[in-house]
Amino acid sequence: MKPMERSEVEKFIRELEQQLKVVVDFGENLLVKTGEGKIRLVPPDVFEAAMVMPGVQQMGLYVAKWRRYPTLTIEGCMFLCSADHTAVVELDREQALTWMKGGPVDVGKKAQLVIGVYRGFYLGSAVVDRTGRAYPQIPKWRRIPE
Amino acid sequence: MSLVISEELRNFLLTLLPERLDLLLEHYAKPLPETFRVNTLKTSVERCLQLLREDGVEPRPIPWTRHGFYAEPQGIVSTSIWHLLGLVYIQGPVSMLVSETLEVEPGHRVLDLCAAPGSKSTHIAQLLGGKGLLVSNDVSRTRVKALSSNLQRCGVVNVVVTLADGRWFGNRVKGFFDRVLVDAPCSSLGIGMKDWSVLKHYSQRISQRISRLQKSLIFSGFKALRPGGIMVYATCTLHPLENEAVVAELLEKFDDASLVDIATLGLEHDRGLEEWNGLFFGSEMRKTIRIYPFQSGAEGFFMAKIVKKESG
Repeated sequence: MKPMERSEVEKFIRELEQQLKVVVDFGENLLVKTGEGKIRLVPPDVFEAAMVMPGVQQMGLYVAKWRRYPTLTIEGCMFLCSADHTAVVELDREQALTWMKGGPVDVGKKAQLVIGVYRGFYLGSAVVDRTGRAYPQIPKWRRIPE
Repeated sequence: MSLVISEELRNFLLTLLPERLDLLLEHYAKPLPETFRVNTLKTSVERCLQLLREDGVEPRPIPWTRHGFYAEPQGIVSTSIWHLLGLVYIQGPVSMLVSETLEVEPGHRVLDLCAAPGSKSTHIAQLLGGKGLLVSNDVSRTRVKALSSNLQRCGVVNVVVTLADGRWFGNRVKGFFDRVLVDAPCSSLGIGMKDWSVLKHYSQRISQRISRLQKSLIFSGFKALRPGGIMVYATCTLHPLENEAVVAELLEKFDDASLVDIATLGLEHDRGLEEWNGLFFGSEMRKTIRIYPFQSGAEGFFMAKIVKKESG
Protein backbone atom coordinates (compact mmCIF):
# COMPACT_ATOMS: atom_id res chain seq x y z
CA MET A 1 0.00 0.00 0.00
CA LYS A 2 1.41 3.34 -1.11
CA PRO A 3 0.04 6.79 -0.31
CA MET A 4 -1.33 8.74 -3.26
CA GLU A 5 0.88 11.51 -4.63
CA ARG A 6 -0.08 15.06 -3.72
CA SER A 7 -1.06 15.83 -7.34
CA GLU A 8 -3.32 12.79 -7.45
CA VAL A 9 -4.98 13.77 -4.15
CA GLU A 10 -5.59 17.26 -5.51
CA LYS A 11 -7.11 15.80 -8.67
CA PHE A 12 -9.36 13.56 -6.58
CA ILE A 13 -10.53 16.45 -4.39
CA ARG A 14 -11.18 18.51 -7.56
CA GLU A 15 -13.30 15.72 -9.01
CA LEU A 16 -15.27 15.51 -5.77
CA GLU A 17 -15.94 19.23 -6.08
CA GLN A 18 -16.85 19.12 -9.75
CA GLN A 19 -18.80 15.87 -9.97
CA LEU A 20 -20.19 15.29 -6.49
CA LYS A 21 -20.31 19.04 -5.73
CA VAL A 22 -18.87 18.66 -2.25
CA VAL A 23 -15.91 20.14 -0.43
CA VAL A 24 -13.96 17.75 1.78
CA ASP A 25 -11.13 18.27 4.22
CA PHE A 26 -8.92 15.25 4.76
CA GLY A 27 -6.52 17.33 6.87
CA GLU A 28 -2.95 16.07 7.10
CA ASN A 29 -4.06 12.49 6.58
CA LEU A 30 -2.72 10.31 3.80
CA LEU A 31 -4.96 8.77 1.14
CA VAL A 32 -4.07 5.23 0.14
CA LYS A 33 -5.46 3.29 -2.83
CA THR A 34 -6.26 -0.31 -1.98
CA GLY A 35 -7.63 -1.84 -5.18
CA GLU A 36 -11.01 -1.71 -6.98
CA GLY A 37 -10.75 2.08 -6.80
CA LYS A 38 -11.11 2.09 -3.01
CA ILE A 39 -9.42 4.89 -1.11
CA ARG A 40 -8.58 4.72 2.58
CA LEU A 41 -7.67 7.63 4.80
CA VAL A 42 -4.70 7.00 7.09
CA PRO A 43 -3.02 9.35 9.59
CA PRO A 44 0.73 9.58 8.79
CA ASP A 45 1.86 8.16 12.16
CA VAL A 46 -0.53 5.21 11.75
CA PHE A 47 0.88 4.55 8.27
CA GLU A 48 4.41 4.65 9.68
CA ALA A 49 3.51 2.24 12.49
CA ALA A 50 1.87 -0.15 10.03
CA MET A 51 5.23 -0.54 8.30
CA VAL A 52 6.65 -2.37 11.33
CA MET A 53 3.58 -4.50 12.18
CA PRO A 54 3.32 -8.14 11.14
CA GLY A 55 0.46 -9.33 8.91
CA VAL A 56 -1.07 -5.95 8.05
CA GLN A 57 -4.46 -6.39 6.35
CA GLN A 58 -5.83 -2.87 6.44
CA MET A 59 -5.19 0.53 7.87
CA GLY A 60 -7.27 3.64 8.39
CA LEU A 61 -10.79 4.21 7.16
CA TYR A 62 -12.42 3.42 3.81
CA VAL A 63 -13.63 6.86 2.72
CA ALA A 64 -14.19 6.84 -1.02
CA LYS A 65 -14.25 4.98 -4.30
CA TRP A 66 -12.79 6.54 -7.44
CA ARG A 67 -13.34 4.96 -10.78
CA ARG A 68 -15.21 6.75 -13.58
CA TYR A 69 -16.54 9.14 -10.96
CA PRO A 70 -15.81 9.65 -7.25
CA THR A 71 -18.19 8.50 -4.52
CA LEU A 72 -17.99 8.91 -0.74
CA THR A 73 -18.73 6.14 1.74
CA ILE A 74 -20.89 6.75 4.82
CA GLU A 75 -17.69 7.31 6.82
CA GLY A 76 -16.14 9.37 4.00
CA CYS A 77 -18.93 11.89 4.62
CA MET A 78 -17.41 12.50 8.08
CA PHE A 79 -14.87 14.69 6.24
CA LEU A 80 -17.42 16.86 4.41
CA CYS A 81 -17.05 20.61 4.87
CA SER A 82 -19.87 21.68 2.60
CA ALA A 83 -22.09 20.37 -0.14
CA ASP A 84 -24.07 22.03 -2.90
CA HIS A 85 -27.82 21.80 -2.21
CA THR A 86 -28.30 20.01 -5.56
CA ALA A 87 -26.00 17.23 -4.37
CA VAL A 88 -27.79 16.47 -1.12
CA VAL A 89 -31.10 14.66 -0.79
CA GLU A 90 -33.01 14.73 2.49
CA LEU A 91 -34.53 11.33 3.09
CA ASP A 92 -37.49 10.38 5.22
CA ARG A 93 -37.42 7.27 7.40
CA GLU A 94 -38.79 4.91 4.74
CA GLN A 95 -36.41 6.27 2.11
CA ALA A 96 -33.47 6.01 4.49
CA LEU A 97 -34.29 2.35 5.17
CA THR A 98 -34.60 1.67 1.42
CA TRP A 99 -31.29 3.48 0.90
CA MET A 100 -29.63 1.24 3.51
CA LYS A 101 -31.06 -1.79 1.70
CA GLY A 102 -29.24 -0.68 -1.45
CA GLY A 103 -32.16 1.23 -3.01
CA PRO A 104 -33.23 2.43 -5.46
CA VAL A 105 -34.73 5.59 -3.99
CA ASP A 106 -36.69 8.06 -6.09
CA VAL A 107 -34.93 11.41 -5.65
CA GLY A 108 -35.97 13.27 -8.83
CA LYS A 109 -33.60 14.54 -11.48
CA LYS A 110 -31.34 16.57 -9.20
CA ALA A 111 -27.86 15.48 -10.20
CA GLN A 112 -25.98 12.44 -11.45
CA LEU A 113 -24.35 11.87 -8.09
CA VAL A 114 -26.03 12.67 -4.78
CA ILE A 115 -25.45 12.24 -1.05
CA GLY A 116 -28.28 11.02 1.17
CA VAL A 117 -29.00 12.59 4.56
CA TYR A 118 -31.31 11.26 7.23
CA ARG A 119 -31.90 13.38 10.31
CA GLY A 120 -28.54 15.09 9.94
CA PHE A 121 -26.55 11.89 9.36
CA TYR A 122 -24.98 11.26 5.96
CA LEU A 123 -25.66 7.90 4.33
CA GLY A 124 -22.95 8.06 1.65
CA SER A 125 -23.36 8.75 -2.03
CA ALA A 126 -25.56 7.31 -4.76
CA VAL A 127 -25.59 7.28 -8.54
CA VAL A 128 -28.79 8.67 -10.06
CA ASP A 129 -30.16 7.28 -13.34
CA ARG A 130 -31.98 9.20 -16.05
CA THR A 131 -35.37 8.57 -14.43
CA GLY A 132 -34.25 10.12 -11.15
CA ARG A 133 -33.76 6.92 -9.19
CA ALA A 134 -30.75 6.90 -6.86
CA TYR A 135 -28.70 3.73 -6.43
CA PRO A 136 -26.78 4.03 -3.13
CA GLN A 137 -23.23 2.71 -3.10
CA ILE A 138 -23.70 0.76 0.14
CA PRO A 139 -21.46 -2.30 0.38
CA LYS A 140 -23.37 -5.59 0.62
CA TRP A 141 -22.17 -6.32 4.16
CA ARG A 142 -23.54 -2.98 5.31
CA ARG A 143 -27.03 -3.32 3.85
CA ILE A 144 -30.18 -4.11 5.80
CA PRO A 145 -31.02 -7.68 4.79
CA GLU A 146 -34.17 -7.97 2.63
CA MET B 1 -35.57 -26.93 25.92
CA SER B 2 -34.00 -27.20 29.34
CA LEU B 3 -30.49 -26.38 30.45
CA VAL B 4 -28.16 -29.40 30.54
CA ILE B 5 -24.63 -29.17 31.86
CA SER B 6 -21.94 -31.83 31.60
CA GLU B 7 -21.05 -33.93 34.62
CA GLU B 8 -17.51 -32.54 34.60
CA LEU B 9 -18.79 -28.98 34.59
CA ARG B 10 -21.15 -29.71 37.47
CA ASN B 11 -18.30 -31.23 39.49
CA PHE B 12 -16.04 -28.29 38.73
CA LEU B 13 -18.68 -25.72 39.67
CA LEU B 14 -19.41 -27.60 42.89
CA THR B 15 -15.78 -27.15 43.93
CA LEU B 16 -15.68 -23.51 42.76
CA LEU B 17 -19.05 -22.20 43.96
CA PRO B 18 -20.54 -24.82 46.29
CA GLU B 19 -23.05 -22.42 47.80
CA ARG B 20 -23.85 -20.41 44.71
CA LEU B 21 -24.20 -23.13 42.08
CA ASP B 22 -28.00 -22.86 41.91
CA LEU B 23 -27.73 -19.12 41.48
CA LEU B 24 -25.32 -19.56 38.59
CA LEU B 25 -27.51 -22.18 36.90
CA GLU B 26 -30.49 -19.88 37.27
CA HIS B 27 -28.59 -17.15 35.41
CA TYR B 28 -27.40 -19.58 32.74
CA ALA B 29 -31.07 -20.21 31.98
CA LYS B 30 -31.88 -16.50 31.50
CA PRO B 31 -31.19 -14.55 28.30
CA LEU B 32 -28.62 -11.73 28.47
CA PRO B 33 -30.00 -8.19 28.70
CA GLU B 34 -29.64 -6.06 25.54
CA THR B 35 -27.00 -3.45 26.19
CA PHE B 36 -25.27 -1.00 23.93
CA ARG B 37 -22.52 1.57 23.92
CA VAL B 38 -22.89 4.99 22.33
CA ASN B 39 -20.09 5.52 19.84
CA THR B 40 -18.86 9.02 20.61
CA LEU B 41 -16.65 8.96 17.50
CA LYS B 42 -19.87 9.53 15.55
CA THR B 43 -22.31 11.27 17.84
CA SER B 44 -22.85 12.59 21.34
CA VAL B 45 -24.52 10.54 24.07
CA GLU B 46 -27.39 13.05 24.38
CA ARG B 47 -28.14 13.13 20.63
CA CYS B 48 -28.00 9.34 20.36
CA LEU B 49 -30.31 8.76 23.32
CA GLN B 50 -32.76 11.28 21.91
CA LEU B 51 -32.86 9.42 18.57
CA LEU B 52 -33.34 6.07 20.31
CA ARG B 53 -36.11 7.41 22.54
CA GLU B 54 -37.95 8.58 19.43
CA ASP B 55 -37.71 4.98 18.19
CA GLY B 56 -39.34 3.76 21.41
CA VAL B 57 -36.23 2.70 23.32
CA GLU B 58 -35.98 3.46 27.03
CA PRO B 59 -32.21 3.59 27.70
CA ARG B 60 -30.96 3.09 31.27
CA PRO B 61 -27.31 3.77 32.16
CA ILE B 62 -25.01 0.90 33.12
CA PRO B 63 -23.53 2.28 36.36
CA TRP B 64 -19.94 1.08 35.86
CA THR B 65 -19.52 2.42 32.31
CA ARG B 66 -19.29 5.89 30.80
CA HIS B 67 -21.15 5.25 27.56
CA GLY B 68 -23.06 2.02 28.19
CA PHE B 69 -26.85 1.58 28.49
CA TYR B 70 -29.45 -1.13 28.95
CA ALA B 71 -32.00 -1.08 26.12
CA GLU B 72 -35.63 -1.75 26.87
CA PRO B 73 -37.65 -3.12 25.17
CA GLN B 74 -35.15 -5.50 23.61
CA GLY B 75 -34.61 -5.92 19.88
CA ILE B 76 -35.07 -2.32 18.73
CA VAL B 77 -31.51 -1.00 19.00
CA SER B 78 -29.84 -3.92 17.25
CA THR B 79 -32.12 -3.59 14.22
CA SER B 80 -32.17 0.20 14.09
CA ILE B 81 -30.63 2.36 11.39
CA TRP B 82 -28.51 3.98 14.12
CA HIS B 83 -26.81 0.66 14.70
CA LEU B 84 -26.11 0.29 10.97
CA LEU B 85 -24.68 3.79 10.87
CA GLY B 86 -22.35 3.04 13.77
CA LEU B 87 -23.87 5.41 16.33
CA VAL B 88 -24.30 2.49 18.72
CA TYR B 89 -22.46 -0.78 19.30
CA ILE B 90 -24.22 -3.76 20.88
CA GLN B 91 -21.89 -4.92 23.66
CA GLY B 92 -22.16 -6.75 26.97
CA PRO B 93 -22.03 -4.54 30.08
CA VAL B 94 -19.05 -6.30 31.67
CA SER B 95 -17.18 -6.38 28.38
CA MET B 96 -17.28 -2.56 28.47
CA LEU B 97 -15.52 -2.57 31.84
CA VAL B 98 -12.60 -4.51 30.31
CA SER B 99 -11.66 -1.66 27.93
CA GLU B 100 -12.30 0.95 30.64
CA THR B 101 -9.84 -0.89 32.92
CA LEU B 102 -7.10 -0.39 30.32
CA GLU B 103 -7.04 3.39 31.15
CA VAL B 104 -6.62 4.39 27.53
CA GLU B 105 -5.92 8.06 26.85
CA PRO B 106 -5.83 9.94 23.55
CA GLY B 107 -2.38 9.60 21.98
CA HIS B 108 -1.63 6.14 23.37
CA ARG B 109 -0.40 3.25 21.25
CA VAL B 110 -2.74 0.35 22.00
CA LEU B 111 -2.59 -3.30 20.96
CA ASP B 112 -5.69 -5.51 21.04
CA LEU B 113 -4.09 -8.91 20.57
CA CYS B 114 -7.22 -11.06 20.07
CA ALA B 115 -9.50 -8.38 18.71
CA ALA B 116 -12.27 -9.97 16.60
CA PRO B 117 -15.15 -9.23 16.30
CA GLY B 118 -14.14 -5.83 17.64
CA SER B 119 -16.36 -4.82 20.60
CA LYS B 120 -13.39 -3.88 22.73
CA SER B 121 -11.33 -2.54 19.82
CA THR B 122 -14.09 -0.12 18.80
CA HIS B 123 -14.44 0.88 22.44
CA ILE B 124 -10.69 1.50 22.73
CA ALA B 125 -10.82 3.56 19.52
CA GLN B 126 -13.56 5.64 21.11
CA LEU B 127 -11.40 6.21 24.20
CA LEU B 128 -8.48 7.23 21.96
CA GLY B 129 -10.74 9.82 20.37
CA GLY B 130 -8.95 9.63 17.02
CA LYS B 131 -5.51 10.36 18.51
CA GLY B 132 -2.80 7.73 18.84
CA LEU B 133 -2.70 4.24 17.38
CA LEU B 134 -4.82 1.12 17.69
CA VAL B 135 -3.51 -2.16 16.36
CA SER B 136 -6.31 -4.73 16.20
CA ASN B 137 -5.00 -8.22 15.63
CA ASP B 138 -6.64 -11.57 15.20
CA VAL B 139 -5.47 -14.96 14.01
CA SER B 140 -8.57 -15.87 11.97
CA ARG B 141 -9.05 -14.52 8.44
CA THR B 142 -12.85 -14.88 8.69
CA ARG B 143 -13.00 -13.10 12.03
CA VAL B 144 -10.71 -10.32 10.79
CA LYS B 145 -13.36 -9.50 8.15
CA ALA B 146 -15.97 -9.00 10.86
CA LEU B 147 -13.46 -6.95 12.84
CA SER B 148 -12.72 -4.68 9.86
CA SER B 149 -16.43 -4.19 9.17
CA ASN B 150 -17.10 -3.13 12.75
CA LEU B 151 -14.15 -0.73 12.83
CA GLN B 152 -15.38 0.82 9.57
CA ARG B 153 -18.96 1.11 10.84
CA CYS B 154 -17.71 2.89 13.95
CA GLY B 155 -15.63 5.34 11.89
CA VAL B 156 -12.22 4.41 13.34
CA VAL B 157 -9.43 6.23 11.51
CA ASN B 158 -6.30 5.54 13.55
CA VAL B 159 -6.28 1.75 13.26
CA VAL B 160 -4.14 -0.97 11.73
CA VAL B 161 -5.80 -4.37 11.33
CA THR B 162 -3.39 -7.29 11.37
CA LEU B 163 -3.81 -11.01 10.74
CA ALA B 164 -1.14 -12.74 12.80
CA ASP B 165 -0.65 -15.42 15.40
CA GLY B 166 -0.87 -13.50 18.68
CA ARG B 167 1.61 -15.91 20.29
CA TRP B 168 4.47 -14.42 18.25
CA PHE B 169 3.23 -10.86 17.85
CA GLY B 170 5.11 -9.52 20.88
CA ASN B 171 8.46 -10.73 19.59
CA ARG B 172 8.06 -8.52 16.51
CA VAL B 173 7.15 -5.31 18.34
CA LYS B 174 8.85 -5.51 21.73
CA GLY B 175 8.11 -2.60 24.08
CA PHE B 176 6.14 -0.68 21.42
CA PHE B 177 2.74 -0.24 23.08
CA ASP B 178 1.50 1.90 25.99
CA ARG B 179 -1.50 -0.38 26.48
CA VAL B 180 -2.10 -4.03 25.60
CA LEU B 181 -5.35 -5.94 25.82
CA VAL B 182 -5.24 -9.72 25.86
CA ASP B 183 -8.89 -10.74 25.70
CA ALA B 184 -7.94 -14.37 25.32
CA PRO B 185 -9.94 -17.14 23.64
CA CYS B 186 -11.44 -19.29 26.39
CA SER B 187 -13.95 -21.98 27.27
CA SER B 188 -16.68 -19.29 27.55
CA LEU B 189 -18.23 -20.54 30.80
CA GLY B 190 -19.08 -16.95 31.72
CA ILE B 191 -21.36 -16.58 28.72
CA GLY B 192 -22.97 -20.02 28.79
CA MET B 193 -26.42 -18.38 28.51
CA LYS B 194 -25.54 -17.39 24.91
CA ASP B 195 -24.88 -20.97 23.86
CA TRP B 196 -25.97 -23.85 26.09
CA SER B 197 -24.00 -26.37 24.04
CA VAL B 198 -20.83 -24.97 25.63
CA LEU B 199 -22.17 -26.07 29.02
CA LYS B 200 -23.37 -29.44 27.77
CA HIS B 201 -20.08 -30.41 26.14
CA TYR B 202 -17.61 -28.83 28.56
CA SER B 203 -14.74 -30.97 29.84
CA GLN B 204 -11.71 -29.91 31.91
CA ARG B 205 -9.46 -30.99 29.04
CA ILE B 206 -10.75 -27.92 27.15
CA SER B 207 -9.50 -25.60 29.91
CA GLN B 208 -6.18 -27.45 30.18
CA ARG B 209 -5.60 -27.16 26.43
CA ILE B 210 -6.64 -23.50 26.12
CA SER B 211 -4.57 -22.60 29.17
CA ARG B 212 -1.37 -23.33 27.21
CA LEU B 213 -2.48 -21.01 24.40
CA GLN B 214 -3.50 -18.32 26.88
CA LYS B 215 -0.07 -18.42 28.53
CA SER B 216 1.66 -17.92 25.17
CA LEU B 217 -0.68 -15.01 24.41
CA ILE B 218 -0.17 -13.24 27.74
CA PHE B 219 3.63 -13.60 27.43
CA SER B 220 3.51 -12.20 23.90
CA GLY B 221 1.28 -9.31 24.95
CA PHE B 222 3.60 -8.48 27.84
CA LYS B 223 6.62 -8.39 25.53
CA ALA B 224 4.82 -5.86 23.32
CA LEU B 225 4.22 -3.58 26.33
CA ARG B 226 6.58 -0.69 27.07
CA PRO B 227 8.00 -0.24 30.59
CA GLY B 228 5.43 1.70 32.62
CA GLY B 229 2.62 0.47 30.36
CA ILE B 230 -0.57 -1.31 31.38
CA MET B 231 -1.86 -4.66 30.13
CA VAL B 232 -5.27 -6.17 30.85
CA TYR B 233 -5.74 -9.92 30.64
CA ALA B 234 -9.38 -10.94 30.44
CA THR B 235 -11.45 -14.00 29.72
CA CYS B 236 -15.17 -14.71 29.76
CA THR B 237 -14.71 -17.95 31.65
CA LEU B 238 -14.61 -19.15 35.24
CA HIS B 239 -11.95 -21.84 35.28
CA PRO B 240 -8.82 -20.99 37.35
CA LEU B 241 -6.58 -22.82 34.87
CA GLU B 242 -7.57 -20.20 32.26
CA ASN B 243 -7.42 -17.28 34.66
CA GLU B 244 -5.34 -17.17 37.85
CA ALA B 245 -2.97 -19.93 36.66
CA VAL B 246 -2.16 -17.97 33.49
CA VAL B 247 -1.52 -14.72 35.35
CA ALA B 248 0.51 -16.49 38.06
CA GLU B 249 2.79 -17.96 35.40
CA LEU B 250 3.33 -14.51 33.87
CA LEU B 251 4.35 -13.12 37.28
CA GLU B 252 6.70 -16.04 37.78
CA LYS B 253 8.33 -15.74 34.36
CA PHE B 254 8.69 -11.94 34.16
CA ASP B 255 10.22 -10.10 37.16
CA ASP B 256 9.03 -6.75 35.82
CA ALA B 257 5.35 -7.77 35.81
CA SER B 258 3.14 -6.81 38.73
CA LEU B 259 -0.58 -6.72 39.42
CA VAL B 260 -2.55 -3.62 40.37
CA ASP B 261 -6.06 -3.22 41.77
CA ILE B 262 -9.01 -2.81 39.42
CA ALA B 263 -11.65 -0.15 39.94
CA THR B 264 -15.00 -1.88 39.39
CA LEU B 265 -17.08 1.26 39.92
CA GLY B 266 -19.75 -0.43 41.99
CA LEU B 267 -19.97 -3.68 40.05
CA GLU B 268 -20.25 -6.57 42.49
CA HIS B 269 -17.41 -9.07 42.14
CA ASP B 270 -15.24 -11.68 43.86
CA ARG B 271 -11.50 -11.44 44.33
CA GLY B 272 -9.27 -13.79 42.31
CA LEU B 273 -8.40 -17.14 43.87
CA GLU B 274 -5.17 -17.55 45.83
CA GLU B 275 -5.38 -21.30 45.46
CA TRP B 276 -7.60 -23.90 43.86
CA ASN B 277 -7.60 -27.67 43.94
CA GLY B 278 -4.05 -27.90 45.35
CA LEU B 279 -2.63 -25.24 43.01
CA PHE B 280 -1.21 -22.12 44.69
CA PHE B 281 -1.39 -18.87 42.76
CA GLY B 282 -0.23 -16.50 45.51
CA SER B 283 -1.81 -13.67 47.50
CA GLU B 284 -1.16 -11.16 44.70
CA MET B 285 -4.01 -12.82 42.86
CA ARG B 286 -6.45 -11.00 45.14
CA LYS B 287 -5.86 -7.98 42.93
CA THR B 288 -7.53 -9.79 40.05
CA ILE B 289 -11.31 -9.95 39.88
CA ARG B 290 -13.96 -12.54 39.07
CA ILE B 291 -17.36 -11.33 38.01
CA TYR B 292 -20.05 -13.99 37.99
CA PRO B 293 -23.26 -13.75 35.93
CA PHE B 294 -25.34 -13.54 39.13
CA GLN B 295 -23.32 -10.47 40.15
CA SER B 296 -23.44 -8.57 36.86
CA GLY B 297 -26.85 -9.79 35.72
CA ALA B 298 -25.07 -10.47 32.44
CA GLU B 299 -21.74 -12.05 31.43
CA GLY B 300 -19.16 -13.62 33.72
CA PHE B 301 -15.59 -12.35 33.35
CA PHE B 302 -12.13 -12.62 34.84
CA MET B 303 -9.80 -9.61 34.71
CA ALA B 304 -6.23 -8.91 35.71
CA LYS B 305 -4.54 -5.53 35.38
CA ILE B 306 -0.80 -5.81 34.97
CA VAL B 307 1.86 -3.11 34.85
CA LYS B 308 5.35 -3.44 33.45
CA LYS B 309 7.77 -1.91 35.93
CA GLU B 310 10.06 0.86 34.70
CA SER B 311 13.69 -0.28 34.68
CA GLY B 312 15.97 1.24 37.32
